Amino acid sequence: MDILGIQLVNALSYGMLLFIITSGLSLVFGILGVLNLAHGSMYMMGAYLAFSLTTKSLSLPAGLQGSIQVFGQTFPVYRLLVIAIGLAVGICLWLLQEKTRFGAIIRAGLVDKEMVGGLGINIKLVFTSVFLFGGILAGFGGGIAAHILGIYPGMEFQTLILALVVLVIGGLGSFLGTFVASLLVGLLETFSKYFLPEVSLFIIFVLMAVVLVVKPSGLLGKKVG
Amino acid sequence: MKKGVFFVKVKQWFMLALIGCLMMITACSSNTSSNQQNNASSNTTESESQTSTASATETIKIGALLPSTGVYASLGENLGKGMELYFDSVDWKVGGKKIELLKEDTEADPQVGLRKARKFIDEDKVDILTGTISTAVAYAIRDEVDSKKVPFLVSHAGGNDLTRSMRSDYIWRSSFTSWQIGNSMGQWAYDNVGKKVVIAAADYAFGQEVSAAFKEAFTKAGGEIVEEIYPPLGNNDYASYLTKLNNSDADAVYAFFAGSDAVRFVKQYEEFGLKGKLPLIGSGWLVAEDTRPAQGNAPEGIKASIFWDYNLDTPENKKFVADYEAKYGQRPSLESLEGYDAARVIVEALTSINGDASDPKKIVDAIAKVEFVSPRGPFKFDPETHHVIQNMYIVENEIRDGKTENKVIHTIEQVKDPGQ
Repeated sequence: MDILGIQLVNALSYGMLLFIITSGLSLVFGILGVLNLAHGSMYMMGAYLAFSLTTKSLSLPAGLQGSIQVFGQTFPVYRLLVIAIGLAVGICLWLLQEKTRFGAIIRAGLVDKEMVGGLGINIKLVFTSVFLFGGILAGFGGGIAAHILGIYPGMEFQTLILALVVLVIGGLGSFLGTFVASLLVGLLETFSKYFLPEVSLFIIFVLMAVVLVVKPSGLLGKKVG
Repeated sequence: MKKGVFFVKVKQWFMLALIGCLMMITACSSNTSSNQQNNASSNTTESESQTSTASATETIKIGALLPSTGVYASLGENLGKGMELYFDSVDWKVGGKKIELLKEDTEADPQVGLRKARKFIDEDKVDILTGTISTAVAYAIRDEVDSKKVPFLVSHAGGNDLTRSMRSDYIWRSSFTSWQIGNSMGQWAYDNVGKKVVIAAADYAFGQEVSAAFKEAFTKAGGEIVEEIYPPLGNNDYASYLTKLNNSDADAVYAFFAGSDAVRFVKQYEEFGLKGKLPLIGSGWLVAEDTRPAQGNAPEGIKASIFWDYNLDTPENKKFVADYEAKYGQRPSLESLEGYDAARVIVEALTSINGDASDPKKIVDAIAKVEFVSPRGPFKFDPETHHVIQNMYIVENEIRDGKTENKVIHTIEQVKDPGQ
């Protein structure tokens, strides 16, 4: 039972990591309708930047480097922190989109660009800043993930594929969908590695295929039209 | 409304196609930048050959097939540096002739490797081929060098079959086999570490071959393999596997991971509290010179088997390390040593036949007789398999002056690949 418990925590932290990585891509795609393929590169930049900073001057606080006991097992504190960061990013983005004036402008701009422009709002600047924000999120994801996933040439493609898969499963343009899909992929991958290591390599692609067949617009995707 | 649904579908297909494309790109690993690199490298080789013809002496042409782009780029670079260091020491001359080293980028891709090998053989008319980091590339050019009778000294690729079922009169190997790496740990682990072991290895040919060799030797000694776990190559998170290991009743874990896989596995092994609790043993790539800087103090206590180590305490190795550091300002890696030894084999073989490279049969016969004391220890070829007979070392990682260092704790003398 303890093992399943700790695997659940593993799955949660991996899922949240995926969410942190994918959220920037989802934001830009959902609001601007642009699939930012440079997302992986921005992620990589963030990761390398974080690595240079942590090795040169800033070091992880000692409290974050250690491990604690969870379900009677040793578990890295950093991964628990990732869960917290993931939740925080999710809540902040939701608040930003739904509860702030800036979010309202973005949503209005999505429906009728010209009208918003006519009301005296520089919609181009708004969209550019959303794009910038998406890029920053990608870099932030890289900085967080670098400690777990490592950094190496070619990492940007691996991450981009994962992020795109999560995006497709969750539904294009749905922020909540991305969140749910991240957790689902995290759970599926962690438990398949534990129970059926042979299938863990492709199981998330199977999930993607099944989701596309059953619900072509993704789990929580918006119906366009 | 209909239009909208259609639009969504098109979008979905586009995404799928895109993901497919990206997967292809990842699999082929950065092909785009390689063309430029190729041009650059062929330019330099051109200018090199011009200078050599200008000097009007006869030359020995050596074609090195090494990746300079892609995942194995740094291995290829270090191997090339090792070769150049040795050629420096003989002033780029052998038997009164000038040595000319040509390099081509294989991109660690069998098809590209074969094309480059043909270029070396047909256009450049090289006297000796050497190199290949990737075993797949070595297999791909095997028939080509065999039918065209070009001596090929393999300086890294360790796939067992190259000196077993795919043996050729013209192929000799100065590096290692997967079998030598895995087998050498078996008996020692049974005597010194534990009787029950879990194997965790990256799921590709090399990882499988090394683990199989370890398993064979360990069970022969009387040990038991409790479980085998094969995470995919380039796996990004080992949390799930490590939790499994943490709850097994084994005495130790035998691991084969290399490069960034080794960095992640060893670091996460510590984070999940397994370091110090469940002994970790494996192959030398787990604690290699070029992976340790990224591993922090996590490798401490790992015991690994390998055929050379930076801290090997012999006069030959001390000289090699000092020369290398003087020339390049950095520590040699295992691949640097492989390049250094391969260059030495070529030079000694050609010296013994006075630099006469006209007959390939004579060259391979001369290679067969090469014997010397390398930085890695006594070095000679097995005339039967064409593979090197060498010492294997068990190293233990420890912290010295705040940094991790390997220490040789046991030597297995004269390990010879069985050849089948």
